[in-house]
Amino acid sequence: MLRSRALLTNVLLFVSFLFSVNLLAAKQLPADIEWITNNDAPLFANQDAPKGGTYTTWMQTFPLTLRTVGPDSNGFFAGFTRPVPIGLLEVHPNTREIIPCLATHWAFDKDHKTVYFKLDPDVRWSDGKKVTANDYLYMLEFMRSEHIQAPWYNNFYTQQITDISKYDEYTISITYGSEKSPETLLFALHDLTPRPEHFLRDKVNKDYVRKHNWTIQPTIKPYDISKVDKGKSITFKRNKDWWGQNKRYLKGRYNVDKIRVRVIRDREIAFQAFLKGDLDSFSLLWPNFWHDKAVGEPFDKGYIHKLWFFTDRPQGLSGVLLNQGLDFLKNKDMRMGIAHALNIDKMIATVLRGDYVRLQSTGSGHGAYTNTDVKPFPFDPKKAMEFFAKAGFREMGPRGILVNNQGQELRLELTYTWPQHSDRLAVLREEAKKAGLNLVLNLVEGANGFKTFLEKQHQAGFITMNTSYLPAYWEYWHSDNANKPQTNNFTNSADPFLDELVMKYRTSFEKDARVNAAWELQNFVMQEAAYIPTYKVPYTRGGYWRWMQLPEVPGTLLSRELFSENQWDLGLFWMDKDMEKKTRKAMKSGKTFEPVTIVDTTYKE
Amino acid sequence: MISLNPQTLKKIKRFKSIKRGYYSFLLLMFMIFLALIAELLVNNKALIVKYDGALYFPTYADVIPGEQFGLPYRWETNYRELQAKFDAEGGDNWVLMPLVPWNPYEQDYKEGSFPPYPPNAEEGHFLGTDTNARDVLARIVYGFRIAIAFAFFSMAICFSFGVAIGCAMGYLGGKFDLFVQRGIEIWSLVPFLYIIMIVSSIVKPGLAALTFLFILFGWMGITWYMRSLTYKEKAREYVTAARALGATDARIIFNHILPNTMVMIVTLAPFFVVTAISILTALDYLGFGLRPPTPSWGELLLQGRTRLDAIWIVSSVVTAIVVVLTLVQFVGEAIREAFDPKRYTQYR
Repeated sequence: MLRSRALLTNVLLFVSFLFSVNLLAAKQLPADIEWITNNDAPLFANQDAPKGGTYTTWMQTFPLTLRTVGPDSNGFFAGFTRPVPIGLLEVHPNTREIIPCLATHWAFDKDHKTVYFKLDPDVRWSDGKKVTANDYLYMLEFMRSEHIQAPWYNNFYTQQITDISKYDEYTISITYGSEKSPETLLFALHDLTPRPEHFLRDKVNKDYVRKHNWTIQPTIKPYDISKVDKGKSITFKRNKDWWGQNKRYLKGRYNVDKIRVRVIRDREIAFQAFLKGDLDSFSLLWPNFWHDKAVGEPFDKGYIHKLWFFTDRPQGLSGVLLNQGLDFLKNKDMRMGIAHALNIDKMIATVLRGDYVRLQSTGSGHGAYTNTDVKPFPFDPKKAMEFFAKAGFREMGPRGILVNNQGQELRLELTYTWPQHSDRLAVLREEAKKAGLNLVLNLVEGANGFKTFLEKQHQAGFITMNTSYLPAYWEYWHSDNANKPQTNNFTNSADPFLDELVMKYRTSFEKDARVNAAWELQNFVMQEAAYIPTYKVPYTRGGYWRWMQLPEVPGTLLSRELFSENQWDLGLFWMDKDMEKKTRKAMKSGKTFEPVTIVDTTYKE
Repeated sequence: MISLNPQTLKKIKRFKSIKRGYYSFLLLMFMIFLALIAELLVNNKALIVKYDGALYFPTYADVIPGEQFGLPYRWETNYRELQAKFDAEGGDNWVLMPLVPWNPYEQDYKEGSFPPYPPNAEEGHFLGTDTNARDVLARIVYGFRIAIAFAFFSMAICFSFGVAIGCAMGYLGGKFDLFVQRGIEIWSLVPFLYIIMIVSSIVKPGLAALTFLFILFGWMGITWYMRSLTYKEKAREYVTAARALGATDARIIFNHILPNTMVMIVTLAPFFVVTAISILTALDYLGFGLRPPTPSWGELLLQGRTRLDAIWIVSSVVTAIVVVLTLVQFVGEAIREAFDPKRYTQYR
């Protein structure tokens, strides 16, 4: 009985297998598709960079898991566990063109949803197995699996990535959830990465999340985790036979042999470790670090170099957002008054030491999409008072704050989420008094603060958002998201004309039409004054020991950081071991070098 | 003081004779007095302005816009600039500024250099500025006022509440005592610091909210002392005598028992103040305290720790904390000694 049942199951399995093979074989590439590739873009890495050396950096806490998805996987260490920027395709860091990576060619279907990819047959997992179309099919299965306990991914890989098909071992197509312009499709799909089916298939079950926190998976990255010293450090080792080391755009990158990420609980202590030479580089993004702390002996003696590198990376919405769901902020005069009462230029010039730059629009660094004509309203207490008068606040009250007929004071509560911002906002508060505005600072820390914004409980929010290569407008400005909790429409904007522009940007297939819509939209948003842009940080900067080497132009237009302090960036740096020995010797003998501080403006706007 | 009984007078005399404590007390009271009139000493508002023949006293008055003094703006007059202007003009007009012409919120950024700026008597920054270019002395003075207000106010409430409950427990005894004691035991196991941290990670408390939270957990300590003292006093002959004469419970408590337990309250008070100031400072230091930019010692201490190169910040605030806490401690020790019952009770 048992036996015959097993037999029946086998037969059934076999039949269904045949059936599925037939189905797969039935998939045919459309005859008229046009394969595109890009092998002529300029190179950005030093092709002759020598390999070797151990690069040491730090993290504040030890990661809770090495999984790339699921609970606790979205912490700081995700920058190291996830294989960005290596995906199906790469974005050229200087020209923003799409260049080959895991796939060599791509093509668009007429349906405006599907993109075909020819995979590079040379790509290997770190265990030596080939990466084939099946690993991409499996990616979809894996990301949709309830066992990974990642609802956001489950949803994204169901709603947005609706289908992946295999045509042969090295040809696939990916279908997106809605019709998009070719450019949007590529930017949306370019960073997808396969999952190792041979490794994961029998591990993904209800115990996956619990059992595989510390399992090291095969990867397509040049680096594989080689040592996990729990609570102390994690070491990555370069794969000597990495498939990408001679590819056009990957050659000369990812040069160091080992990357060690040490746990150091406190930024100050980490900085001391850097000054001692225990860490090879240190990010000096914050003004007080660059100007006040990164000075003194090791810098003057030329042991540590400083580099300030300007970029034009995409920068998202960053500003004071007024909640138009509240009656008094529905009044445009009120908003205009506030926009003229915030002295953001002074905040930048004083607390931020003139390092940051006033953001001019809803974002920047989006190439053609950035409207270069719009400007924020300048700080002008006189004008602000004129607007406040129109909004009913005419008289100066006893405390130097404007009052209206009912004797109410002009008061705006500005909610912010990070204690480090207190000194920045204190400037705004003091300056706003000149316009008769009582700007009350309300600190609600971290995730709770952000929840305040999502639920539109704020009057004004001091908010900075991430962005990707293309700007996003629907979530911030469309009326679909207004006056609802858990959406990003922090200003509660609901205007039919704005909706029209958002939809034009979202649904047009022509780049020109999209660019036009984006420009018009930015203009409209800026005029409405519900969003008052603050600043952007159009650079990366850091200190590094003199043995750390960078290409002639040390970074790129889109560089996040110069070295790999927080994530896999482009990996353009290398280490000069001779120079390290010499420098350490020189430090002992007291020999000094020329101090070096470079300000590189190659990509400054 | 209506009429102090001779024993209390004796105790006060005794307290006065303990010189260290007595002078600490006087000094402390003087400092509190100065803090109460801080607006006259440390402020960006002028004490007196003479302009076109009229005198103005802006300190406690409504905000006077710059237009009033012939300046081209409507916001509050910058009296330091006004003073400089009048001095330059050399006319009849003059401005009298307080000793420290800064308020604790004002940022005095200078072009070309960045805070913290070192002490500079000429500009009125006697202890320099903090990392946001605010005057350190101004922040210490106003921070002191807030800390001492917090301490005294929470002490007043905690003690009235604690004494009332403790006294009632001791006097009534029985089931009331039993149940309230258990309640207090449970309540006192709730960790105060964690509660404050949790609350302030959700909403930054203002001074009132923080005081309330502190009182919520601060009143229990005194109940134990009051309970046992009341039990003891209740059993004394004079209470029995009062009762025999037909005195009501209220009369016995207020006229007989409470005056005799005052020792405990007076003795504990200074130490309570020390605890309250330390806790407020610690919470501010850890970032769980008052809403920025409220002037606070803890916040200055934190700044000082991260900017040890700007030694004037950390040295000023540490000196302030040490001086105030030591003074209060000296007062406390003197009171304890003066009120020590051993001096007046003779066991034979």
